[in-house]
Amino acid sequence: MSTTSNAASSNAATATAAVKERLAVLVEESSDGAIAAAGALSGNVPLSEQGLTSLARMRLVDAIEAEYGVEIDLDARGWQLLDDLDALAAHLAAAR
Amino acid sequence: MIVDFAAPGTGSAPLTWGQRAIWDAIGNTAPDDHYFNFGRILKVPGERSPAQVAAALALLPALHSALRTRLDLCGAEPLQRLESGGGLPVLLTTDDPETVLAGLTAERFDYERDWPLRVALVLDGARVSHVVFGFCHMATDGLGAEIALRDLRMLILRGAAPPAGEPAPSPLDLAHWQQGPQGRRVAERAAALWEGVPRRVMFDRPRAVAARPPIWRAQLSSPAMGLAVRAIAATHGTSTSTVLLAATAALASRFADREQCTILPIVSNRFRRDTTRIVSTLSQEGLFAIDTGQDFGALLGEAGPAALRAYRSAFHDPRDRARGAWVQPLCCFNDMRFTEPGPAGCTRQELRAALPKSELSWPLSQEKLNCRFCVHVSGSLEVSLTADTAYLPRPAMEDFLYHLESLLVTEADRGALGPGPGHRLASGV
Repeated sequence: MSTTSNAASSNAATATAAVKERLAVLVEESSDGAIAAAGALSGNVPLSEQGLTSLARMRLVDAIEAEYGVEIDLDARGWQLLDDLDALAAHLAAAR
Repeated sequence: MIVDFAAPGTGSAPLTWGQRAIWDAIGNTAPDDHYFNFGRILKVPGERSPAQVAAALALLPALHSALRTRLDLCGAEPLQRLESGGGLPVLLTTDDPETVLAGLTAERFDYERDWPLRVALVLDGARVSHVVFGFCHMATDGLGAEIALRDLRMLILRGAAPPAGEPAPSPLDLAHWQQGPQGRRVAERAAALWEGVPRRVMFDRPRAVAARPPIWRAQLSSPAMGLAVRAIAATHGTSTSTVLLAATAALASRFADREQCTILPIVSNRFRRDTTRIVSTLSQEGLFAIDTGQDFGALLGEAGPAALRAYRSAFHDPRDRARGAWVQPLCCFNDMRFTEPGPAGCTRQELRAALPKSELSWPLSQEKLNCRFCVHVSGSLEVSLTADTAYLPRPAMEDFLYHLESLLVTEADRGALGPGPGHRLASGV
């Protein structure tokens, strides 16, 4: 791998990590604090198992779309995306 | 007594989408439109005199302009009209608060002349024990009423409502936003979801001579169903509301002899940051369409994304709906719980002990309703079915509620608790 591609890969990872941190804050806001940002960031437990209700999920969709200008498809794939902060962060970072 | 209030701001605007939706429903239900009135009771903290509570009440319409908004019905289209002040009649009584609430909500509102809330102070000696409200649904929905009550409580305690960050838009502001380019974009996304669903009425064949009066409500109070719904939600990683919506859809299809269900859940429409704290009628019907020709577990898997699409479809312009002749299945679902109990497992013994506590009642009957099949959810857990008995006779309504309980208890027993003799739990229902 060249130095240039290494740097690009590192930048992408940094961008994804930053998006993930911001998403964790949005999860906390959308769930009215039921899921703390720190809890959303740590571990591999799906957000639904941490108590993300359908109301909170829809608030999260609206917050993401307003902040990132990326539409989330409300189908099975979008549903899974909203359960996995890593996948969601990668999706948003790639779309920017 | 009369409580005078004054607040800055006056003007008129077209109705918001939510106001328009409830106005259409009122028009289709009149003269029985008192059906949409609803009440709330606030237990007054501490020792407060009528004058002290009245002083707090006088500040409430300044905080929430919906409470000083009436309709202007002079033109071809109704307008909302914000008033800068007036006098709110307040009843002083020593009656039981629940009785007072029933009285305040019993009569339809004069939408042009009445203030959209009726208030009574329940006295216990010199102190006010409760404030009772009868709300006009044109002013607010249930969640908005909860916000108003919380703020009144703070006004009574502190003389001021707590700072809530960015103030919520007024219904006038919201109407202007909805008519602007951002609102139109949101409306168009919702419209696309409605336009993709075939037009069908769920209960389209009269089955019997209607009862007198034709509209009846059956209500099943079932702690067992409450336990089962939470257990299923825990197993399937979803919310109790989605479990109940999916089960209602499955059974509505069965009773209507169909393999697809189209049902309209009432959605709070408080997903956006700017609408979270607004006191107004934001709730509207969303569109939930699902294939019910599959087992309940598979249906639940599809119900989550379908519920999100329903939420998005709900924030729509009713005039688009009228112009486009969107699907009207005459079949709706209203989860009226303000705090949804989270997913939680339960034991077979708990379910078994709860089942005998189920009670059926018939709390309402009337001449007219704008729907044929309406399921309401409240408490922990009461599920009611209000139906047109020409399309679903009273014995079938009762069957529906017991089948709903049976479906959910059986599913909880099978999925959440694992295979075992618990299957028999639901067999006698």
